[in-house]
This record gives sequence, C-alpha cells and structure tokens, in this order.
Amino acid sequence: MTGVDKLTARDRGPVAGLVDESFEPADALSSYLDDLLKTATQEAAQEDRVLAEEVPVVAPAPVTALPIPAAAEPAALPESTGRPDIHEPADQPEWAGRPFECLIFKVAGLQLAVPLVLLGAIQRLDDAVTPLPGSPAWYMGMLPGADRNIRVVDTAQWVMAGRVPADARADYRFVIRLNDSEWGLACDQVAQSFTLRPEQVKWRTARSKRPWLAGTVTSHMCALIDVGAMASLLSRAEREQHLSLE
Amino acid sequence: MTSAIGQQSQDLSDRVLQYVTFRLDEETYGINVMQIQEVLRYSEIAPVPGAPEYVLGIINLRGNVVTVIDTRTRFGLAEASITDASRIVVMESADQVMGILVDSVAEVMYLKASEIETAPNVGNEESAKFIQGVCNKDGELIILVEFDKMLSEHEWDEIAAL
Repeated sequence: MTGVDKLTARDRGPVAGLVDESFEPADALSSYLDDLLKTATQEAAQEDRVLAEEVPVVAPAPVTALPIPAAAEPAALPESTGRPDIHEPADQPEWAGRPFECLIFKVAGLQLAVPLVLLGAIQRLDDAVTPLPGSPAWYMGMLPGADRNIRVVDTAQWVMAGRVPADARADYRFVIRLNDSEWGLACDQVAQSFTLRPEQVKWRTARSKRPWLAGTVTSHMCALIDVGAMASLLSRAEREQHLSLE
Repeated sequence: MTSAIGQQSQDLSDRVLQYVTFRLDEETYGINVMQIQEVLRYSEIAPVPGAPEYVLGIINLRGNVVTVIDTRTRFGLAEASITDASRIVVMESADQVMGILVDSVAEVMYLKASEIETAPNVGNEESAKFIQGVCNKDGELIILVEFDKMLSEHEWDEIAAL
C-alpha cells in the first residue's frame, strides 16, 4: 500500500490543511492530494450547477417562432444526453480529445501523471545536477543532457509549496523533461503507464490556482499535469525571477 | 603566466576562449583568463574592521594591498575551512585589483563561444548578473562567472574606499 492509498483510510476532516512539527509527511501528502481532488470535484460540481441554471436561458424558442423553409429538411437537433457533458470543458487540452497514454511518476509520495505524447525524456539524476548560486528553493540546477542541458525543478517545492516533506530532495532519482522544453521535473520514481479516457479525468476549468494542474484522476489517485502550462509557468518564473512560489 | 594564458585565439567560424576553472563546494566555475592576474597559495588574510561581510580582508602582494572577497558568501555557500588546495585568485577589473578565495584552482580550459549556454535567470538579481553562462564539458557543467559583475557598482565603490 502506498502513501497515497493510505489517504482513503484516514480521517481527513480535522487534519486537512494542518502543517506542524507533528504532522507526518504522509499526512501532508494525503491532505494535499485530498485538496487537489476536492478542488477538481468542487469545480466540476460548481460548473454543473452553473450549467444547470443556464439551461432554461438557452432553451430553444418555441418552434412556431422559427422560420422554417418549406422545402428544407427538418433541422437536425443536437443529440441530448439530458445534461451537458462536464468532462469536456472548453479549455481541455488538445491532446485529451481522445483516449491518451499517461505515465505516472512519484514526487514525495504524491502521484503525478504526464501524457506520454508530451513527455520529452526521462533521465537519471545521479547527483549530477549543478546548482547555480542564488537560485530559489524550487530550482535545483542544471543537468547535462545528451542533446541539451536540462533545468531541473524541485517538483515538490513547486507543486506542494508549504507542505514539502523535509527530506524530499534526497529521494529524487529521475528527471522528466517537459515536452521539448528546457525544463525537467525531478521525481522519486517513474511508475507505470496507462491509457486514460477523457471522461476519466476531472478536468479543471478555473485555473487561477495551480494552473499547471489539468485535472485529477480518481481511479489512479493522481494529478494530471498540463505540460504546456507547467513549462510556461516555469519559463515565466525564470523571466520574472520568481524567487518564491507565494 | 598571464601572458601565456591570456590569449584568445579566434577561429574563422567560432571563437575559442580560455577559462581558468576553480572549485567551490564540489562545483566547477570558470573565469576568463584575460581577467586573471595571478593565482596565489593561501596566505594570511588580515581582516578589515568595518568591512562588508563579503570581504574577508586584505593581503599584501609585493607591497600592494589587495582586497580578498569571500566567494562562498557571495555565492550563497556555507563556510569551509582552508586547505592546502585553497587559492587566492587575483583579478583585475577596470581600475581595481581584487582577490577571490576559492577551494582550489583546477585547470585552463578552452571553450568555444558556441558551447556556452546562457544560464537560467532564476536567481536573485546579484547572482543572475555574475553568472555569464554554463558550458557542458565532457558531461560536467562549468558555471562561467563574469568577474566584473560579482560586485555591484556600490560594492566596488565600497571596496575602493577600504
């Protein structure tokens, strides 16, 4: 059983959001993933409500009011499923239009997933990261690569800011390069790949918080990364010299 | 030494630069040889009362006073003890001569300009300024430092006033 699996067995309510000395890393992780899943679920539910409220407004006008050409075929009505499909928001990534392969990787116990089509490369860390003076905590340094040097991100610092287990960095073994960008995410372990259908993902539409999070996959208890958004955020952080993630 | 290593050769297609590499906290840094005057074994550095924290003190170099910078402090690294390999690299910038204390001096390296990659600009302003770039040499990344920018204008003035 993984740390993530333990989440379901824990009493989440009273401990959610707490971070103190006595708070175990596993608890922090559970609480964090819980948050991610809750956020996505709440957003989906909220969107559900909004769309439900909008239904009367967009209801078609009475047929008698429509000009119907005499010789025309009857207008094809859109197939109705009874409710709008909340799994296909307008900003769902392009690659998610059909079933896609994903790779799960683990960071400080948290399970993250990237679509294989946007996975640039996987490289061993082997202590070869060169730190640069004055770098912020989320930036580990540069890793020499076969065809280019990779800018390695301390993924836990980036995605779990404020809840990072103290020794998270010591467990990093691999770097996952984001598509063809110069950025790579450090991770502890690369796990299995699997196929996801778009409707298996709780897609996020409101990206004001954690814009790198495309959605969550409850069946695999993992957070699906929007690779493009993540690479853009990192580039912006570099350009604007974000020293902290606050 | 300066004249021997202080030459830049130029290829028709790609300029070749010479860098002296030094070690600090397990990492390798490089400085253009044109800026280096000489490399000294560690000798007693006399502290200067009231000097900024990045100044270790001064040394007497053949009758001239040279201010020595605490490179570890400047680079945000932890303090380390002096060893037999410790060196003071004396450099000349504009009209000032200054020394930097390093863990050891490694070698003179030839780098093509095309091999130098711009460094990520994620650090704080000061460090971002003095890191000129990085270079992948035989699988090891060398951090190239621009000596002139190791100190701000204000800090250069401070040192001149010591």
